[in-house]
Amino acid sequence: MFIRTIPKLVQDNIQYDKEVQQLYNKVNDLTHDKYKNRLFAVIQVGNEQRKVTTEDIICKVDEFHPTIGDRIRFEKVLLVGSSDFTVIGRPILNPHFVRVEGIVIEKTLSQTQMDYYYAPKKKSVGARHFLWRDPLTMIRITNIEILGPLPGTNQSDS
Amino acid sequence: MSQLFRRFISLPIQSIRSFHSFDEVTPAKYISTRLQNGIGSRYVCQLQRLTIQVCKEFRTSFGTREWIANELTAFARQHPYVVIYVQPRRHRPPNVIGEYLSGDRQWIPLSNCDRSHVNWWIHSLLTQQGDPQWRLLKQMHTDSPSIQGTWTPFTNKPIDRTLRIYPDKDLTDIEYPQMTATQQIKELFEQEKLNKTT
Repeated sequence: MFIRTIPKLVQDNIQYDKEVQQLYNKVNDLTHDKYKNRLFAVIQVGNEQRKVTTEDIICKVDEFHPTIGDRIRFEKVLLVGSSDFTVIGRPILNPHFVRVEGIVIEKTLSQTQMDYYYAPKKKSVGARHFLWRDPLTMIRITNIEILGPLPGTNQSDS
Repeated sequence: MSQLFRRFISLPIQSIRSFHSFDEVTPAKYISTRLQNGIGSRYVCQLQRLTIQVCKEFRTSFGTREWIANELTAFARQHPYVVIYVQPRRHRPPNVIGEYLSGDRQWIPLSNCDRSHVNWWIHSLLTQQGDPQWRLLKQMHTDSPSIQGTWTPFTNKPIDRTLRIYPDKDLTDIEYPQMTATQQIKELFEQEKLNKTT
């Protein structure tokens, strides 16, 4: 039989941790000069993952409750990176570490789309056509910033 | 079934026929904004003027009349940057016309619409940017497409892989580090030979 066992918690190898700590310190130094380097992030918006940077627009093809001019903070941030480093969450990053904010610019409807269905032989089914317009929301990403040092390092509190 | 579900979500379907012309091809566009709207969390509402044409007598404009009686003042108070005109027209269908900062103009018929439908259409005009209908080519817009550079098969790989001349002997030798079966049999054969001779 296949018995699924929970792996035991292994104590961290201290020697290994010291080696990794140097890398953490490098990344922590890089995060301080946030105004020099442009950051990018991967966020999840309604079952879709998008790669965004500041000042770019994403479109959500669905109903969305916030109206125009509302500021949004994206909680599900999967990845944050700069030109020199990337920080990958498993599966998402700590909300005290990164902040990705956006603003709703526009809520429109898409073009008129049509589904045409033709079945003359069947009873009570002739030619049918459905018309609909999908609701769209345009969201502009205003800022992406790193709030503190990497979680789980010596410099962080946690 | 999905169409039915969509119909429940997005409101009055009957009016799509009335304002969409099937003869013309809808223009295709990428996402764009006027005057970098929204950068730095600064937003300017694009709707400037809203004209509601309504009849006082006919049944076709009962919903618009109700909306004007109940929700117009609250709407005007909530959105002071929009100028609203109510234009009574005798024995004509009701319409809503929105005029935008970009100079575009939208016209939506509201005949036989419910009060909630009228509210929905007016709010949809409020939240738009002015272009009446356009086909969405891409669901995103970026000015800086890549930050870490475009990916190649040699990114984040050791440098000596690129400098090597293939086929490389070191790499191929690693594939068979142990003795092969034929070599083992050959050795056994030679050992047996030696034993026989001795």
